[in-house]
Amino acid sequence: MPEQAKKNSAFSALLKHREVGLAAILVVLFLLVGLRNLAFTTGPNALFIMEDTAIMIILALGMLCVLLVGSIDISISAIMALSTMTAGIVMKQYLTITETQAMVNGAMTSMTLRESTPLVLIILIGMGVGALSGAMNGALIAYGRVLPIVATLGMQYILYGLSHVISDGQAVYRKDMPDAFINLSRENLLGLNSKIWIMLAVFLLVFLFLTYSRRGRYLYAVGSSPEAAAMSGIRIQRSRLLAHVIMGALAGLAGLLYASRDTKITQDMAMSYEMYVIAACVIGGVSVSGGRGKALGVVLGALTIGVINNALTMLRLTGNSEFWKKAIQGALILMAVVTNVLIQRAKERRVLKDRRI
Amino acid sequence: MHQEDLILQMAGITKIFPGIRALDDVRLDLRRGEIHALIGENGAGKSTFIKVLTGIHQPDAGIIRLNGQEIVMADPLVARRHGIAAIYQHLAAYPDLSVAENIFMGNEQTQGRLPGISWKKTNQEAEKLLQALGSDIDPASEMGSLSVAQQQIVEIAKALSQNAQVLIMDEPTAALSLRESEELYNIVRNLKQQGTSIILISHRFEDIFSLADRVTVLRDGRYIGTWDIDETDSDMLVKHMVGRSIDQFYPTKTTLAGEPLLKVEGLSRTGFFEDVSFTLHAGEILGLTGLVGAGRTEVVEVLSGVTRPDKGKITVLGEQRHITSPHEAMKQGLSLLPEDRQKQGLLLPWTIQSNITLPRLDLHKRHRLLSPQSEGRAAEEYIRMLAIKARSGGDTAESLSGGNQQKVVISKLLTCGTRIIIMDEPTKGVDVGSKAAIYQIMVDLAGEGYGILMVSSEMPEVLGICDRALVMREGRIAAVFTRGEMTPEALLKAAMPLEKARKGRAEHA
Amino acid sequence: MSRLTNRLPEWLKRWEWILVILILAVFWVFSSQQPDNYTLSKLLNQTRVYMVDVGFMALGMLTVLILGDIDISVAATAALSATVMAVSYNQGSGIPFEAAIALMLITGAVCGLINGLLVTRFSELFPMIITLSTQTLYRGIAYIILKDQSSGRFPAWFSKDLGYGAMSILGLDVPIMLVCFLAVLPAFYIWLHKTASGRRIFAAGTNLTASRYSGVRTGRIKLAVFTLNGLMAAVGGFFLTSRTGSVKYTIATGFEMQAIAIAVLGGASTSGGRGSVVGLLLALVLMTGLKNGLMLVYNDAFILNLSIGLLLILIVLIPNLTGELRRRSAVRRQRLSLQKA
Repeated sequence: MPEQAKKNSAFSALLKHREVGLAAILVVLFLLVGLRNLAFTTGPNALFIMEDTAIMIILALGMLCVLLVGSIDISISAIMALSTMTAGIVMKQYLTITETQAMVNGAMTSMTLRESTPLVLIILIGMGVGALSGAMNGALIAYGRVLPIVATLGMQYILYGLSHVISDGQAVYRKDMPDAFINLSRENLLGLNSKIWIMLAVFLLVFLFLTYSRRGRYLYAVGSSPEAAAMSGIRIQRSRLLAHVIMGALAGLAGLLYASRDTKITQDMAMSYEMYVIAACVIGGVSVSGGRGKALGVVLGALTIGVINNALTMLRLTGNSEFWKKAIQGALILMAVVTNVLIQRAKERRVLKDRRI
Repeated sequence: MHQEDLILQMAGITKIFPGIRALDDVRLDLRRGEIHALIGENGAGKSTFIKVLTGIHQPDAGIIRLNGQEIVMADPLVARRHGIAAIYQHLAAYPDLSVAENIFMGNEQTQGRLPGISWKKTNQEAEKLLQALGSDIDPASEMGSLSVAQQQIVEIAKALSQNAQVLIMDEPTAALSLRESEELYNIVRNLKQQGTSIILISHRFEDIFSLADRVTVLRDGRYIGTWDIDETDSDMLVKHMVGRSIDQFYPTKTTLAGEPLLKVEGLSRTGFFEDVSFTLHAGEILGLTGLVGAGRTEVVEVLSGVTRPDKGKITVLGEQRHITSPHEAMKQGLSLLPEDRQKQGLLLPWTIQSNITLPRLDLHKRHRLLSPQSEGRAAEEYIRMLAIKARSGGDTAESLSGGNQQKVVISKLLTCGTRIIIMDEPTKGVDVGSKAAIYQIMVDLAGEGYGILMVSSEMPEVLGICDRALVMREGRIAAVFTRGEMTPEALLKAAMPLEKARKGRAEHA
Repeated sequence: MSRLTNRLPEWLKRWEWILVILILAVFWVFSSQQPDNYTLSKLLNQTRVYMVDVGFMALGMLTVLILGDIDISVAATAALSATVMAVSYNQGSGIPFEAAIALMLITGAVCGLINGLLVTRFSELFPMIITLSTQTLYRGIAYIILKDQSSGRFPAWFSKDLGYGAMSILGLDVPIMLVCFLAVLPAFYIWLHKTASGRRIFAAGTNLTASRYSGVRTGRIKLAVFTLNGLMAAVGGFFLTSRTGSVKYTIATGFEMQAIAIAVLGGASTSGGRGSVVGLLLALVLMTGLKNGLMLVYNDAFILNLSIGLLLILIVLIPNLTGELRRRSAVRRQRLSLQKA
């Protein structure tokens, strides 16, 4: 009996270090591509990848929570559209433009100041609408017992429709945005872009939540064994609802960053980010059936895809690589899930072999 | 009996589910520091009773008194807070989480005044608990990677962490080897010495007579009685559990075995069973018995095509066969009555008629389309033949009682028309009347030249109608008995891995 | 299906009547709002847009749902198959149109087969995640082939006769593609509801394990159903293209949701074992009437999609809620009767 437990813990230690393995693969990928194209491995490029991926990471961290409870959310693009559009309309509504004169570099120049509702409020609105949308998803899934795929599939169209209705077909452009918002994704602090800082903050919060808080651990419990969770007295439906609310709020945040970056908000910010985000999670070791997954893994998974995407562009392997991204994403998820299954089967075979001594 | 001696008093407990009275005025008195066995046949209500005590089910009537105080067990948390902990047969564990986390889920360990869970403390406390039980399981290891015996120890550690006054153990040794069972017995005895009161649910008389101080018998949801363990023996207990003496049940079987129908040689499936060989003859009822976990269902699943073997040869009527699926098995002449009739045997929302005809829809075609009339006729015949209590073939399967459901599955089996019939626990959870009917059916079938392989955990049953019995022990065939050689003691002895235990003890010495 | 389960006929019969009532209600509301535009002949014409292509996909989806699985890649399969047809016909010297059509059907079947193989070989994975990935993959391949361009220039009869052709039946102009669809429906009805193989599909969806133990070849059935689904998706894409006249990699976006919505509206359950071809037809008619009316009143694709999303959720949600309420009141009734005793 003691031997078996020790042997198993060796194996599980190996699996525990999946994050290490993943990070290693990432570094190797990075270097391999760098061999082909030296511009790839430069510091600025690495930063660029991180910046580009930051928004994805925020979304993926939200998806992590949803996947942990054994659910899924394919309406995140629509949540982003609706929450960003809501914030955008508010921004546009209260926009004041002032023309002033100021001393810049010793010369008098005229400046245009764009101000609107405080940035904090805008962010709150964006994340609030996102959280509400997530809550609707969660309520349908947890209390309405609607299959997550059906619920979020339907909600996707409802949310896009709502976004259309409140925008009245109009878009929000750069001229409608306050400076504070435009700069949200452009500020640099200590050499790193604000998107990276925000992403790190979100990562830290999610990590702390999932690792050290009771409610966070309950997400794992509900996903790992709903029956056991019920017997432990955990409120299963509340956990599921919470997971979706977190996803919604983070989607709202991501949408705002995205809008700030592109300085454009349209009613159908149709980005089909769902697959990218799910791929990032799956590659990062999150189980689609729930109960397993780490924040760090998700970050690494997203970075892996980011590196691959970037590499494709840099290497110009296949004409214009843009077109391959979609297909590769689909293939990647498939490979990742199938690999997980194969590993699991191998594990089980080993356990069976150990049984007969 | 003084009131103060009782730590737990349950009286008048009644629980009704749609269509069935699971518990009817059941009572239980648990003395402080005693090990109290709760026994009964499958479906007698033991699990439901325990779930009422632990707050999972709300009783429709009755009271629970803990230390003299009446308590309403509104949910599992309430029960836990009052020091009632249970270890279930189907472990309620989180396979993806660590051992330590499993122990402390819902009871998170914090360090000082810092908010948030302290993993260091969690692991430390888990280590302490496990060591107190004499185990060296690594608290950081993943629960899913542990063996069933280890998981059970973790569950006990969990109960200890909750300062359980009352510990309930539901079939704790069901999946354990003898060595592991002995270790568990020691742990239980230690707990008793430390003052924990224990309710032990078990089918195994070895457990009961080794550990229990008193025993309570339930039957069909009713309280039958409580006895001191010294005042009773297994025969008496069986009589109370069953309600009538054993002999009345079994019809006499007169036919002798004929030609060999099925020959199995060297059948193996890694991790489940090894080198299984036997022959089944026409007109024979061959029993396959042994303890839970011995590998009997796994053997039967291979024979009926549900799973594939890693090694071995299967010969039917002289020709070697390769059985790749249940469909294929039926073509080769074998059909199976599965162990779990609700999940594996029946399509519950469907009618009796549609369930019965499913394996042989080809028999009910008219111009390439299905003929409901033909199906109806077939169903009528089986209902009559097996005395299924239903209004018509149009009743749904889920509206039937356990015994009648089993008859429907048997009808399905007969529809297959195979000469070799494999039955896995055919009378589990079946009421007494239906049991007798099923035995009669089996004997009649044998009389007509069918060969029946019956997996059974009920010793009386095996002794009652089997011509021969194979005893499996830890994945191998340990012994074969003819009718004359069969005695309960011989069967039991063959099923228990004695030799290994001796070896095991020598290793640990 | 009425002999299968005792409860079901009443439930389903009720459901189908509800659909009929809804159809009549929708017709009445919109024809009174827009009497000139909302006529039978105009609606028949609009079935081209709203009913036929989605209808084929919904038929395939119905079969998958009855099996207890789900396939989100149907729209992508349609797009890829249509792309293959268009490109093989138009590229370079091209191949005969009939051959292009054959290639399209093969593509659809292969896409479905891949899904089926993945679902059966890796039964640990949920069909949902598998088809979610293949959806991206298939559309991605279409994107690689066609890039951002569109491909058109089909033979005249394709758009003229099939896309916009109509035949006169009882004085009404019935679109030819609608006739094609209606011709296929009875075959599905008979297959699913009256034959042994259809019965087995229902069995597998009701309880996969028990069906397998009963000798149903569940692996083979899943492969066949997913392949058929891919084929039907290709057919849907075919008719869609005949109407629009050109193919882009983005065609049929959102059709998978509509297919699911229609099948579920018609009585299918996402947990399997239930579904009705008659219900599907009624649901299609209802959707067509609804979409047509909404477009006339609002002239807005977003509102259309919003309504459909709302409809989808409601039709799944309401039975769940009523079922839960019924369960709770049954238990309460029992408790009361016990207290009285």
